Amino acid sequence: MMFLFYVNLATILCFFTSISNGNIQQTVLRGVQTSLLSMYIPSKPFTCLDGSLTIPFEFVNDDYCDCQDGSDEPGTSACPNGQFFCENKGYFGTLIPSHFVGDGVCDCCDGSDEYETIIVCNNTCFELAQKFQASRDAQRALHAAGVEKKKQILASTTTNKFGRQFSQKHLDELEQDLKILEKELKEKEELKRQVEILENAAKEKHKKLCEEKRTMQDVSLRNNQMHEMFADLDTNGDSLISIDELQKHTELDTNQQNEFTIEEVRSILGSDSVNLNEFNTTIFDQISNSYRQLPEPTRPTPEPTPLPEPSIDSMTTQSPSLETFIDEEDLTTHTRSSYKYEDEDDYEEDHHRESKTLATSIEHEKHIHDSVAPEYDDETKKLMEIAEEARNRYHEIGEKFLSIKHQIEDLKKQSTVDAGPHDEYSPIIDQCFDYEEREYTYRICMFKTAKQISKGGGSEVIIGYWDSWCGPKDNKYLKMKYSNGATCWNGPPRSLIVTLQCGIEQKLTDVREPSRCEYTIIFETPLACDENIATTSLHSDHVEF
Amino acid sequence: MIKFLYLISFILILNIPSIENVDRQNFKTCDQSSFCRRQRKYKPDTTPYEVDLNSMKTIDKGHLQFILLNTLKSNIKFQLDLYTLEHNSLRVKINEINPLRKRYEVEYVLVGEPKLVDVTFKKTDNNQVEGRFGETAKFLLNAKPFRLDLFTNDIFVISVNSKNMFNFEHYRKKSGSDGAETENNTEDNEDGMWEETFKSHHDSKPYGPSSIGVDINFLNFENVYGIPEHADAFSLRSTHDTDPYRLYNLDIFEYDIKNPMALYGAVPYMLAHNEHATVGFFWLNAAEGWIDVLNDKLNTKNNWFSRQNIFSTITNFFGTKSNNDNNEVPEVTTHWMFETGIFDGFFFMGPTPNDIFKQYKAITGSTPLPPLWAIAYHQCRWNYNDEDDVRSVNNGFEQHQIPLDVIWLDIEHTNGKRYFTWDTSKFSDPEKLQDDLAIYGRKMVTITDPHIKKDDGYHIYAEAKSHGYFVKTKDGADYEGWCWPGSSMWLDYFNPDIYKWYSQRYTYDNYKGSTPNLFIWNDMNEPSVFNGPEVTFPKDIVHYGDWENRDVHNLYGMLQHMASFKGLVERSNGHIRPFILTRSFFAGSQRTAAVWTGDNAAHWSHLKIAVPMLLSLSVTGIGFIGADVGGFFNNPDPQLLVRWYQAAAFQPFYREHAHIDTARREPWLFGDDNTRLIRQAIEQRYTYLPYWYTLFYKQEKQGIPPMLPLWVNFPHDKNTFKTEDLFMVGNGLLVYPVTEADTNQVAIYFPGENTVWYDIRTFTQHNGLQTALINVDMESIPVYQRGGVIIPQRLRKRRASMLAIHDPITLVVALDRNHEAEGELYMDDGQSYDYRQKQQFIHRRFTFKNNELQSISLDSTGKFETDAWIERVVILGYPKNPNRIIINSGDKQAIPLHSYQEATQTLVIRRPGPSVTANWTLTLS
Repeated sequence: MMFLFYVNLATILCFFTSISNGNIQQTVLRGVQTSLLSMYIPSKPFTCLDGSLTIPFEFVNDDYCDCQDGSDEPGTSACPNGQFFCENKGYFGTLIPSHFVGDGVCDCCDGSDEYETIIVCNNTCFELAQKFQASRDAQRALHAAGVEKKKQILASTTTNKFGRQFSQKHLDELEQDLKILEKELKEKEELKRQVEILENAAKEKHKKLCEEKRTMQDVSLRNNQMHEMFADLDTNGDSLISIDELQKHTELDTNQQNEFTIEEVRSILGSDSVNLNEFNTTIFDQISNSYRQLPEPTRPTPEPTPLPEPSIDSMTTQSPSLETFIDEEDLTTHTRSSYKYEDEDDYEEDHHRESKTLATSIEHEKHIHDSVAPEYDDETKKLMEIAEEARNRYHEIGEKFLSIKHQIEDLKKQSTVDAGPHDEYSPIIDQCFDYEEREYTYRICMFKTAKQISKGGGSEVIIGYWDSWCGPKDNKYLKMKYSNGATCWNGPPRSLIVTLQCGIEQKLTDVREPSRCEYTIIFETPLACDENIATTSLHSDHVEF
Repeated sequence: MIKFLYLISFILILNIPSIENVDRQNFKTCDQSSFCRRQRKYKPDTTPYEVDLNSMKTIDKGHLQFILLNTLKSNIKFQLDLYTLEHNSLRVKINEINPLRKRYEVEYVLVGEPKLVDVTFKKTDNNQVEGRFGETAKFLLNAKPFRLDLFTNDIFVISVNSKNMFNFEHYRKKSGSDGAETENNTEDNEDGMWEETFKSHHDSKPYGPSSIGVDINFLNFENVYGIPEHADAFSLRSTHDTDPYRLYNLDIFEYDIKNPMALYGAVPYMLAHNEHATVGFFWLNAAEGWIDVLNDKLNTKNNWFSRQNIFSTITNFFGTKSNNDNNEVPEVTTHWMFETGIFDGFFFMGPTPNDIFKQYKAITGSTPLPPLWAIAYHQCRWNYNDEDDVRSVNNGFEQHQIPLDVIWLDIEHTNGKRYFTWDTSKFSDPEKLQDDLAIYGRKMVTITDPHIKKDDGYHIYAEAKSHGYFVKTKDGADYEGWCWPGSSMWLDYFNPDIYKWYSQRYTYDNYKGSTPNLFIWNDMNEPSVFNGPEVTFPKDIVHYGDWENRDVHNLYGMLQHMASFKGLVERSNGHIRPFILTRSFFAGSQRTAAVWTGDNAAHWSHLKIAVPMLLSLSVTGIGFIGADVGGFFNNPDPQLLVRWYQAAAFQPFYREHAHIDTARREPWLFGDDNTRLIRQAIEQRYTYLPYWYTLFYKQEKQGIPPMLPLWVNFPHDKNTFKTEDLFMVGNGLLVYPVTEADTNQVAIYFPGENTVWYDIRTFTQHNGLQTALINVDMESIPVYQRGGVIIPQRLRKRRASMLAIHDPITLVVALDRNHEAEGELYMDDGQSYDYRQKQQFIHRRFTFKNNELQSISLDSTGKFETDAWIERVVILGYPKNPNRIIINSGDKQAIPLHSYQEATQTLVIRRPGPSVTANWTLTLS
């Protein structure tokens, strides 16, 4: 809403409001930045700084906004978008928005923005300058001390052979080792395969023998039982079992509600009497399970052991396994999975499958062992020993292989981590720091994970995995982002912003949760100390005030 | 995180499974509320009710009394009282004579005993009494059958019981019990009459059925409005295939829109408007209510009207409509059902919209002028976590140069949801915090909910407990329920001692950490009881005076915020105007609190529904209202947030608020562009504050709310009767909030014959009675100043409204087709009662006529000292560049400069200069 006014200077008669008295020069040029003073020449018409309009100089600071950019009213609140210059003698001159002028709030330390209001602003410039000086000195001292510490840390890091500086060499070595191990692993696997073939064949043979033997044993066992039962039943010794002989055995009555009738007995015998042969083929199997008063068999059938009642004990012995499971879950899904390399799966899977089949076969053998008590012959035993040895060698090498593999992964990850413009944060890669709060411990393992650990003994919650540096454009390395943590109920996945600050000790402070499940924390570390600040030249002090 | 787990546990207790929508299973349908089920099906062919005309007594001038009989139950007699009231209003009371139990008559709502005016009555025949009262009103009371017809300007507007649905359930003894009525009516033992169960909640109903139903019919009307609070259309929808609109104050978790379910507050007041008249019906009843609305055609040939003697009246009226041969007139039939209480109906006979506001105000009062800062911008969140957080939010507004007046603290600021306390680990020095905000002219609002944590160590609880101040169960024990703090109890504000005691909790001594810059928010006051039936009190709990919650339910929230208001008035010895925000409300709440539409959601549909919801509140007297900017639940995308800021900049109560589960959404968190757009919207609100403040003053005086449906200003423009995408701010601004995503163009209907509208940004003109396609971008808030209206603005920027009260004023004069305009400006100190007690205010009228702009005082009793002056006059629609402009004030004269833009016919007068308090004349030639 800016219009060119029809100006006739002779007719400017504004007597309703008067410009406040005082030094004309001061009033007219009030609020003008020192660097722009040359644009405000009282004897000449004023051109708005954006060039949009030229107005009589009397319109400058006349408490009416003429210029679109607000430049005609540097000393009043008339323009919503203008700027007022606080001279602030003894401190820094500052620009404040025009609408801070005359609003009853002291914004300039010299109080110059409140020239018309009734409130009294104390001149606080001197105090501010002192405070500023003190705080800058403190900062300088802090950064200076911090930089020393930083140098030490970095120096000690370089002497560490596992440090990042040597990581490439180390990595090469490890990869060399890995190749050798891989080859060895394959050899061991082949060896294992070959001896297992022999072992299995021997075992198979042994198993067959055992089974044959067992069948024979079973047959003779049955035969003995059958003869004994026949003799037992044949109370009159006529080598025939008659209806009344069998009828005594009421336990054989399938229908327990009524008596064991002759008809029922006959239906079991199939006729009025049977001889041994008939008994063997048609009767014995029918009644042997129910038959009582059987004399002691030659091989006692074991009493079925009663199932134990579920007891508190059995519950508690189960719960650790549950926890173990959670721990494993936690370990694999949260920690390991993020480091998992695809080609590693082969071994791990093999390894897994191997141990499983092994377990089942052992179980099976055990079972056989229980019932028939098989003894392997010496030859088979020997083969099994050899196979076991081959398996153990294979797993031994496998473990080594995995361990090296993980080392390589970690190193690779480390070497890809952006550890600051001068690599200065490399010493804290994978280092963990704790912050203790009322309810939780916050643990950040740098460039890795951030966790919230309940002090009440509850579980750990991942609040983020290392994501990226996320400081402002001009200072990217000011803040670290850990994202994609465990998802909140009814909320986002947890995340954390770590702001780095120069400090002598490495520590976390000031954890907050400004939005639900979006955390912030400050990390003080000498590594964030800045040599430039530490060495700010003292002579600039005078220039700045 | 503990607190979230804690919340989760509540949610689990509530068994609220879905995050998206309300679980309707938790709330009753009409069919599940036994009285609604009974009343809704009550539709006899003839009414059994008759007035005994011989019983007529004149109790007072303007007060007639009759006996009303239920002919089916001759021993049950009712008393019918007719009161003719000032301002064209009629009150009708029907109550049982000698009931078994006294029936509840609502207290706290009326501003006083309504003033009677004389009635001229006569018996027109043996069956009818006619009464004339007020300027234009007339009633006809028909004895057999009982019916009451109302006329304004002799136009038939309302008929009571013409559908025979009047049905008054008298108190009775349960049949089978000692001395029970001998009438062997099976209806007396209908299911749910003597007890009912909803979900697991049992209502013992010790007094049995007591509901009242009645049909109120609006003749020749097609639109009825009001009966908030519902998230539904402004022009009420027919309920023929839905439940009736329900009035029962409830905390509905994640409410759905476009349905008649009850919400947080209730005003049993309905208006009807057509091009001839505006009328209203208010049933003063605080029990659970249900209202059916049916849009019908009334066939004047074949119904009872033709058998009645008043048919001529109708035909006379409808005869004025030419060619209406089919003898059908529109009619809105409404069926009102309340669970208990008496029939206490107020009929407002208009006939204009502004008359209606005055008439309703005379009964229930109006919203007093709020402090200036309360109508500026508020920043809220559940929760600003601690003092540092509050300071950083304040700094954010400073840094981004966004005006702000108030920062709010939700429940987490307290020590474990013990209201009137602070969590000192987060707020160690709340007084200092408030003082520091006050340096910037800013205030703070804290929350005080009505549930009191059951904890002997909590001083409020301990004291209330020892005095027996809590609401009781039917067995006389303190009622205990669950809310934010866990196990809680509720104060019984119905007891005057408790009311007073509660108000005293707000003294600076009692409320430690409060300062004069702290104001109050009453939430959860329906009340919300997490484990109660329908998330509120059981109906059979007992309040002071032995009333059941059934009788008084909808008053509870209002009593709390009334007591809070009283507390804040008294803590300043009656000097400073309070500010209270409440979620629950009833008729009369407008006198002491602002209201917001509760827990809405960050959806475009919720932005859109805010307009009809706010209009429904406005027309029923609740004028200081708003919806949470951005939507309470969920995260708005930046576009929705910006649009919401823009829309709400032109709605009365302007507050951003967000749920604890949402991401931060302070205005500067969405990139520079969005920050700028939000800043612009808030700045625009501030430029119009002088206008808003004047409108709020008008509301106090005349009951006219600041936010209005179009038909209030354009009562004859039929196109506006269902409008809910557009609204007016006062009589001068037409607002079309953009409520859809990615909008490039909107179709805006400009109302009013011979009316011209000026785009407030470009000054482009639009003619009335036309729909125009308007291009919009993200900068656009389509707002138009009406030709003929002068609007005072403050175009200077300030960080808070209270820092601007002496800043100069710009007058924007929008000329009508006759090159005339008028407007008003009200000003005072912005916060004290000096405007009432010491007449420290100015109220100016500006008129533009015959090329002269004049400022005169509208109220010479007012005096207010201010440096404010007129810095600019902008005249829109001025036809030519004037040669000369002279301003005269007293004996002073000046010739201010001006500029003129021909393309938009806009004249800007530079520094006219007079004080806003002066009389002056500006002449153009």
